[in-house]
Amino acid sequence: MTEEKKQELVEIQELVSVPNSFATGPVMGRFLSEIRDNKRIVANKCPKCGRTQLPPRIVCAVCHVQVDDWVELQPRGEITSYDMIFIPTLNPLTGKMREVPYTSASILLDGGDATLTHFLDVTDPKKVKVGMRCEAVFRPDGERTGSVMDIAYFQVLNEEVNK
Amino acid sequence: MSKNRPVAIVGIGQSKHRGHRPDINQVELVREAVTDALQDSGLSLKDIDCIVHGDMELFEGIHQPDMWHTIGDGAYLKSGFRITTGGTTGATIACAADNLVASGYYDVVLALGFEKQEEGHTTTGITNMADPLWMREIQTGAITGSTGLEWVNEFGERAEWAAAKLRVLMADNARRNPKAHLRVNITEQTVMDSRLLAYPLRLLHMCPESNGACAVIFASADKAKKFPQKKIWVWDHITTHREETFYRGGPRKDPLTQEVAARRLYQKVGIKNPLKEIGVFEMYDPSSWWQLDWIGNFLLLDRKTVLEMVERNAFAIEGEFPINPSGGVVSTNPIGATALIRVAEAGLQLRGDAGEHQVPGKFDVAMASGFGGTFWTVLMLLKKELEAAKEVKVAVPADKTKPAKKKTAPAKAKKAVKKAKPKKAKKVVKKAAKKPAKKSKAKPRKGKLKKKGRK
Amino acid sequence: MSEKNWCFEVPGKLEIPFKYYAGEWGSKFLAALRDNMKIMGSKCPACNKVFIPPRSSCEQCFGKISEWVEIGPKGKVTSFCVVNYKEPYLPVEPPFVLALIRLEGADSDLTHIISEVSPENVRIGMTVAPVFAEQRKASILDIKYFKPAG
Repeated sequence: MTEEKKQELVEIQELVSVPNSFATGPVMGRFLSEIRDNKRIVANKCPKCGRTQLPPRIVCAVCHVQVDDWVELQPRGEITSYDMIFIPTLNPLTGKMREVPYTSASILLDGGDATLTHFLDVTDPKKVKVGMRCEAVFRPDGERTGSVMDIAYFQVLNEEVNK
Repeated sequence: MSKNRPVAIVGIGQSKHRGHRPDINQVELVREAVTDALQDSGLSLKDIDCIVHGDMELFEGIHQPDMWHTIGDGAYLKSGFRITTGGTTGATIACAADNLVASGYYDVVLALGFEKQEEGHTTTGITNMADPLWMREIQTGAITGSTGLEWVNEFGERAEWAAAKLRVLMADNARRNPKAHLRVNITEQTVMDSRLLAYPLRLLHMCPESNGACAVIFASADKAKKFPQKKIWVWDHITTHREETFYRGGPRKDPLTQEVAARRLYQKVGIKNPLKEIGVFEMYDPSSWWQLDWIGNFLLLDRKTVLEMVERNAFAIEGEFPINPSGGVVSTNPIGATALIRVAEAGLQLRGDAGEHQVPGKFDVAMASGFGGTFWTVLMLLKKELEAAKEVKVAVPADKTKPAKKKTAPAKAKKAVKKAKPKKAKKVVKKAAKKPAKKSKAKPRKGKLKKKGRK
Repeated sequence: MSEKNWCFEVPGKLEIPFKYYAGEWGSKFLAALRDNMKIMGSKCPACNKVFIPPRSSCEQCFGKISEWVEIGPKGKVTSFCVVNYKEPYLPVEPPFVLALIRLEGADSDLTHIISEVSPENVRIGMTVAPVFAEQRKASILDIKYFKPAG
């Protein structure tokens, strides 16, 4: 029954792991289904300002009008910005650390003015520049599940486009 | 639109922000800030009507912490609100407290923000804000070099040295702030040599993960008259969302959220020349690259001008336009509290109570900003003296890309001035101005010898 | 929009490891459970109230607290419910009784499990006593459960 002050500082570790089920809704559902079933990338097009929008949304983010038109964008485009990540971080979707280095990029797809964010297959800073073109590499039939990751990555093409 | 009544800030408190606090739990952390604020204000808990509480709970993995915290933040048997808005949480709770007092529902409101960051994974928490069907697999929280890449593409290595110089300035300022977390002595070379996270973002450019809390007490003008601490006034604030511009680069046709917020707020209150009319700016800078980029957005300056100002140290405490005299977010970042610390520090500057990191000279207006992950900005202006509530005609430009040329109309309506005790405030500020912090700025100069070809 | 139903569900998860620091006061409480099998509370001198879990400040008068008080070990059930569903994060298999227990000497309740009695026989006002775990590691489950104590 001693009253001495303890210096021990207790640390309680706990892994929180919660299963989720994300509803796509009709708009994202269509986008993901087109990738899965037809290897096509589609985006909404605003009837008022003409913006193509990715991720596809039920309203135009700028005009706030309902967007019912869809356009097909090419599965290739120009790199507008990229991040080459050298520090491992924890991915909450898997609970595991991401492998590094990896490159994520914003790709302006041909056929519109929307950008898609995805991985590039190049992790050498000397081999990537803004303005380079790249092309989507889809997973084979049977492996696509209706996710942006049905595109495995974008392959950087050797040709360069001057901005 | 105008407020029902003016709102004053009557108390400011912060905990000591540190990286490792195993000796306290969350309740004890918030209590530190609340006690500090009550002490600063000279009030006791019975004077507080309502507590607005905020943090990003995914970072600690404990939900609805406001309920638990009633045993330590004085919210027992009082009204309470809970706000969690990402990085802007701190600023939004300040805005909410301001709105609550201005509305007339409550007379004295305590805004409390905190984060016990080390208990979770910050980047993972931020990643989780991304849409799971779109970018969550790829997104890496705030670790992105895309903004830095734009600057390097335009200005080359000069931009990298400028970002490093800003970081060194923040470190120098933080060493003058006893509450700051990272109080390091570094040079530009140290920054350039630090670990690469995402080119050109380096470890030292990035904000830390801090454990800390901040509390600010807002009161109506009538109540504030009876309270002992110096009063400063909330002039106005704005929140803008620009999530559709969050495409990380590419041809920027639309102005970013910071510029939209700044233009709208300046037009609303009648500020025509922010560099001249604002005395100090506590800016939310999650990284030195974003600081470099957003200064121009907030102050409506082009990149070249900002670069030149950074190079001549114009943003130092004794410079032409002090930014983040407290050391900024890159020195201290308990996320739920960070934006509120910006408001708190801006308030301390106006009061003349910032001690060693006090901006010298006389100024009447301070600005504080908050930033949130999916690109929203909260901007708040504080004033030293109270004038009559302006008849503000809000004319928000429909086309956001045009510069706001129609600023002239609303600004003239403010001539009916009711000076409610400005004299006392003035005297105190003059005294504070007499003790400039004489810490020399010589340290960053050492780095210059190693640089190649800098102008 | 076409009539086709484009909606579907994507399975995913959220998995993040956390570490919580009990703080000096929390650590002392947990260490007392682990080392001495004692339940401690703290007493506010101004309000004359004893709180569990023990805390370093009083929520009612906002004053600092420094006094530790041993409470219990017996107590009375002030409220309870019977948990009948299964979830991965629950500490024991259902059905089990979760109760608020007012330990002797305390002015606030402790939440814990009641066992060694079938749920239909649990009553408000019933006296219970703690059963400590064999292996204790400075956690609230160092008290395995409370059982009726007549």
